[in-house]
Amino acid sequence: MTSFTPRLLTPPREKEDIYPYRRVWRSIILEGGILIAIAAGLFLTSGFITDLIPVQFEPVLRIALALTPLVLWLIFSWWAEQRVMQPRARLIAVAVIGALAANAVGEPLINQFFQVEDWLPLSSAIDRIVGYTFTVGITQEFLKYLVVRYVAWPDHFRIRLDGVAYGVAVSIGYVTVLNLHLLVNTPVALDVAAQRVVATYAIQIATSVVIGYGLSEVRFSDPNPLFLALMLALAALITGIAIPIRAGLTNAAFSLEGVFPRPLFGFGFSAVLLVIPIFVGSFLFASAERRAQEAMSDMEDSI
Amino acid sequence: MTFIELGSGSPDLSYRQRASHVIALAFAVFALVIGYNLRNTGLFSTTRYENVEAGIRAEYPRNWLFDNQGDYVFRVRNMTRVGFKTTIQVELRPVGAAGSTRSILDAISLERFQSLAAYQVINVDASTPLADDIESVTMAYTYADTDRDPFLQSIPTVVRGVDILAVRGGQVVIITFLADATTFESDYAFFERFLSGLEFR
Repeated sequence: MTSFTPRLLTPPREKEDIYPYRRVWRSIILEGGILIAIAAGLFLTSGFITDLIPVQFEPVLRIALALTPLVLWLIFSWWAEQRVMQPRARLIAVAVIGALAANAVGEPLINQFFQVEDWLPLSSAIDRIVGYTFTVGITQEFLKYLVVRYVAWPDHFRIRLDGVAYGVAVSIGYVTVLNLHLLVNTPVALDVAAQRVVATYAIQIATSVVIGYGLSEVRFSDPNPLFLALMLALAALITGIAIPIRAGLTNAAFSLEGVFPRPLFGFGFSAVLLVIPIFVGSFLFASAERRAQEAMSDMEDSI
Repeated sequence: MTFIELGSGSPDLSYRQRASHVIALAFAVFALVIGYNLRNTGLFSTTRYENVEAGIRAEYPRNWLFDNQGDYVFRVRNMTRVGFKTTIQVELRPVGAAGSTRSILDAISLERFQSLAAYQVINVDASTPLADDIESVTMAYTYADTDRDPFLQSIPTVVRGVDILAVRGGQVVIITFLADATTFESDYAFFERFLSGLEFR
């Protein structure tokens, strides 16, 4: 009896790993890119829009702009999360509690207790960096850390990138409150509002990657006990450096030729602030994941 | 791409994990305390001013704009305030032997009725907030401040003011504190610190 083995014209298809989670970096890039595009569009056409839209609609437009990061996050993160095999739980809870913490604790602490606007803007550059780090930076990052720590960590941390996903969620809640406070209480022009929204978003997302990395490492890698505090300090320092540098780049400089603000510098700085943590963060997360796999394969070999 | 998933559920935390969170909490509290100290230094640090001719030594808030070009000994203003700038001013006026603090207050009020919009005296108090128990009278008042530039089209600001009068050697010292009514309470701490450091010679 002869056996017959069919010959395949094409090689057998390799099994592809199915990634069952939402891809966090892609969501951040999409949300950040679209937000910057909207803000740049508003910045370029603000004069035309101001002429076109009645004055009474400008507050509505400002509120819509303040809510844009939240809407983008709901579309590209939360809604996308519902369509994957293993959705992350409690993202909305983290964002809402982040917003509540910002409104109930963060903003009163920074504006009414620390009163940073009364003493920091006139200080020297170094004093401003140190001052913003130990007031605005540590308040915001500590609150964000607490929210993720007690709402999602460690039960809902299944992979390392969960740290970024929950970090971004709490930051979106925080950003929304900051933007609403800023744009509702201060009737600024649309182009200025667009710059502020992008700047706040960039700082919060950049620091959320750092806090997320710290929490993920503590969950999966059991690092030195000082590591998480160092990440908290780094996130606060990023805030402390970013606020005065952005203000220095954007604000008008005195000169004999006139006084002109430099909004494009501010946009550029916010874009860089958003891009660098994504690149550095993705590298760090990938290398941590690779180290963990190597350690696991070494352990299997030894068994 | 492969990935490592740890099972869900409440895992027992290792010693290092617990220590990480305790250290992070301790660090955050420590950093907030440093922030509080920086805030106090930034808000309440002062610059010394001494005028031998007027016999006054004072410590005014650092970063406030100093001015001694008007008909007063000196004036400092907080230029970071949006709208009305919180002001502390020290002024000297001659007073006759028969002059009482009450008559000086009346004279000041009459001047202000003519120059300030909606000027209104709230109360006059004979307490002594000055150091060394120097006898003084305190007058609280309000008025509406309008920007002098008509092109700015600004809405008038309600200003709350406090005058402290002390008669010393044929002169009356008038220490004035002015602030936007909405920020008066928070700014009054600057004035209290200013008064505590004010010395007459």
